[in-house]
Amino acid sequence: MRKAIITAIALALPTTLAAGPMEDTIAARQGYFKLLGANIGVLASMAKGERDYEAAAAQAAAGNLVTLSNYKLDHLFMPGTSADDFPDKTRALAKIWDDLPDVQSKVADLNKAALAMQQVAANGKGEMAGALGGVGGACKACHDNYRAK
Amino acid sequence: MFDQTTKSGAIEEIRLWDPALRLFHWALVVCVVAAWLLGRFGPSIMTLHFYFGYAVIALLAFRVIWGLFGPTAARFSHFLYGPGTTLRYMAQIGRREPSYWPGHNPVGALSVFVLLAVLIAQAVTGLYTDPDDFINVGPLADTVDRDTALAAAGWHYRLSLVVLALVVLHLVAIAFYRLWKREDLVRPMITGRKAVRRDRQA
Repeated sequence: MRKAIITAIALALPTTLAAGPMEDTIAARQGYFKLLGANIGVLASMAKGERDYEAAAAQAAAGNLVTLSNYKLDHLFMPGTSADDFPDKTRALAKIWDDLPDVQSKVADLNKAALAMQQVAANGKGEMAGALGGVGGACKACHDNYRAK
Repeated sequence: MFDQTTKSGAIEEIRLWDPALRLFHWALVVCVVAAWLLGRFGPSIMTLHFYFGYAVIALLAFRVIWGLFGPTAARFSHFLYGPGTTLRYMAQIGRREPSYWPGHNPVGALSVFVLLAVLIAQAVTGLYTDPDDFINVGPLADTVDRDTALAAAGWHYRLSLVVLALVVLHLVAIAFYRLWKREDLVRPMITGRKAVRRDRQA
């Protein structure tokens, strides 16, 4: 019996080791950006006419972007979770950790763009679409510098 | 100076590059440089980059048609050389004299084909690019699955580095012909006229 338990633990060990705190952090980080993308996606699909513009849904998405861009990101950028450490799991370039204040200032820019979006999201498709450039531009500014191509 | 009476033919100035080809060349210079700089340093809303990219596609389409049905010197068949001719040309490329080549010389021809192929690949990947920013999505990105569109963004970036390298190589080659071989390749692309020796054609 004891031998069986030890064997079971020994067999289970590699899988528990494989999904450690680093992997969890990467998954959480990617979840954060997926949430951002899902909400920007609502606004972008309305702007492109892929779905009907709805003021309430646009307002909700804009509010979520404000909330998300207020989120304290520090724990998502745990050292040791770059693309150098996990090349198959993440495209987060190691130079993020060389200049975390710059990354944070880019998130602050996203917050500004999200606040601008929140002001106009319910004012009709045209005004909402006009603010989308600022939000997308904030995405781009960070992708250009800090995400593996 | 130049020995103009060697056994194989005299030097004459001919009309080599037709006006449409020259216009194509300089329009391509403007559009590729503009698209490249806008892509790298331009505003985050990349509308102008897209427009210059579409212009590049139109120019490439023209070049392919011209390469098949255009005037002699513009045709692909006119500067499609075998390995023998190419190696023989390379063996004497260091000679300090003009090539007097009536058209794209065998090495320059390679550069033309590679540049056209890379620019076509760059245009195609651009059409399918999804940079994940919701505002600069290529017009055909919706027609492929998301991983493909994201991969296209990666290739579009990597190919931009290849385009830069090829343009630098192009300029270095022109400087080499101008300074070392004392042959001006830019002027013929403006005026259409070039001093050639007809026997230089393989």
